[in-house]
Amino acid sequence: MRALSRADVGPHYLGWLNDPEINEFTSRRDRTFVTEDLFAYLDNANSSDDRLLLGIFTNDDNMHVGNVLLHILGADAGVADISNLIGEREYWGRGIIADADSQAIHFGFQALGLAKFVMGNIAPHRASTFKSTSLGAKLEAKLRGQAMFRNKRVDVLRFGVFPDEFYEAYPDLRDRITWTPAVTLSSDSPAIGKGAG
Amino acid sequence: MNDPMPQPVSALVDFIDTTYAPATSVTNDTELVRSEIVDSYGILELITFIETRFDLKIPDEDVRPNNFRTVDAMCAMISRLRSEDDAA
Repeated sequence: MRALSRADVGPHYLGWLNDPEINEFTSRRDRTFVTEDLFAYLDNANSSDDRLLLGIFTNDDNMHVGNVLLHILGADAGVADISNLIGEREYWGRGIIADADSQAIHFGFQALGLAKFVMGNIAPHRASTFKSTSLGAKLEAKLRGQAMFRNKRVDVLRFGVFPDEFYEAYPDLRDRITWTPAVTLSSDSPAIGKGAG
Repeated sequence: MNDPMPQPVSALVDFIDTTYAPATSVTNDTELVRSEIVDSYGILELITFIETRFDLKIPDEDVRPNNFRTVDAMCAMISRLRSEDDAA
């Protein structure tokens, strides 16, 4: 994983955001994106002091297959939201998100000093529910009828995970520093999380 | 008269063997995810299979790894959900 720049924007990346199937379970599903939108999104993320946007690239051929976003919600409490996108269909169902999220959460706990990660999804997206619980996260809230999906009102599920819960699910990561070189931040990567680490 | 409710163990083993074609047939305690027989999409297929075959709704709270780790774990969840259905 590495930070993204404008050079990573192209038809490939833009195509993900405008693909109804890829965005079926996201709030992006009813929007159309153009290159300028992506530039603004990346510029915004890269200049932010509370967000870290990382691209997920294959080891074999350095192909951009998805993103992970860490968003610090409360630096004082050390809480961050984590969300993701896998744009390349051939990488769906192969554990890429779990791998990327586990590395990012480990990085957040160990390197940034964060104390808790939160994440969420609409209830029909059960793959995402399973992914969150696989990360050790606990279901903390069910927001009844909070979103619309296929013209139906559906619940939104919110999950949270503390370090002890995460490392119970990923004991091999507990004492391992894995973000070098697995996660490489560029020299102009944003400093994130004032006071968070 | 309705068909009798299928037995979870044999139905699950048959489904997994047929759908995912593991090198050797799974047993009650085969680790399904750890041994990479079932991936995250497979979990969704298992959820759909269980809900359809056993006429159950798996609550969001039960969509977690421990309930899908092995055939035995899924059977325990199915048994519990059936009991809760009966009690309701």
